[in-house]
Amino acid sequence: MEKKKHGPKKGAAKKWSERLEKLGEQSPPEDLMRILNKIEKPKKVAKPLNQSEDLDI
Amino acid sequence: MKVLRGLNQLIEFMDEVDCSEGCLADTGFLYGMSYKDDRVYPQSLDLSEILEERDIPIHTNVIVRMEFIDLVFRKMITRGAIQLFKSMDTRTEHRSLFNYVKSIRDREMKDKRSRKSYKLGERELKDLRKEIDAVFGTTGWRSFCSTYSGQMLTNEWKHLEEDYGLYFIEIMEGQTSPLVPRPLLWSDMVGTMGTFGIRGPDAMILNLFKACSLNLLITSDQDFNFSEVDEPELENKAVFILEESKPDEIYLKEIKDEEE
Repeated sequence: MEKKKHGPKKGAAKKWSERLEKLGEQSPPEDLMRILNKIEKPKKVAKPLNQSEDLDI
Repeated sequence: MKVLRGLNQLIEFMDEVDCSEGCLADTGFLYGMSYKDDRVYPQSLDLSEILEERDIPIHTNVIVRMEFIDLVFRKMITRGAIQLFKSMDTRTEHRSLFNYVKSIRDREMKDKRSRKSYKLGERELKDLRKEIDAVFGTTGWRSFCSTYSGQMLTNEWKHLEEDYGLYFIEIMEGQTSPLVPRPLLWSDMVGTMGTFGIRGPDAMILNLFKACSLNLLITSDQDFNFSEVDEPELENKAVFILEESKPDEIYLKEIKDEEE
């Protein structure tokens, strides 16, 4: 026997649009964000321990 | 066929003509009640309440079902791209992706202010995928899509069909059913396209409306103004054309609050 068809349940349309809204507000996947926001810091160049102080002769 | 505009005309029609078996809906109405940045959103919600109060089921065909879920998917990916932009560090070295998602955010914002529901087109979807693939490889796109559509969308869809009472008429060429007492024929559909100068999906809905026992068709398509059509199958039937809402002060304030 065919199931009786029904109209929208109370507030169904509003609930559906609110659920879609929330779904669209989620943060992007963490694994992607880790790669995206990895900022390359400028490489530090080590200073020589003994700085030469050449003198003009 | 009567053309109804405004909820008062619709209520009058429902009082006169039996609509207890249900109504037929097109994609515009289903999408319109889904996103508040859509122009027919306010009236779609009001209409949903009327259908709710009168316990009127909503029927549609498989083409509308496919069109609707495709629009929802495109909108969700658009929202995902905007979230990606919002979460990105402006100093990121991935400039091409950053600029692309920024352009999506700008376009969505511009359209939203004039109450147009922006969603990525086919070309833009492919371009976004290319940008994401270039940074993360092919797994990146999957990971992105699983957040904004994937299994969650499947679950939400199930809720929608059950709670909203959406029914899909699936019928083969030449067959009939209690709801569709006249056989649905491909040749009739092609004829409808030619006669009314409308696209295939619209002609399919109109053809189904002619063949089925439902008396009310709901659409957001302003071109469905076929009041002069005098076909026996459409006698006592009516099409309700949803009214578009312009962005009013309340709406603009809501948008502004969201942007801040």
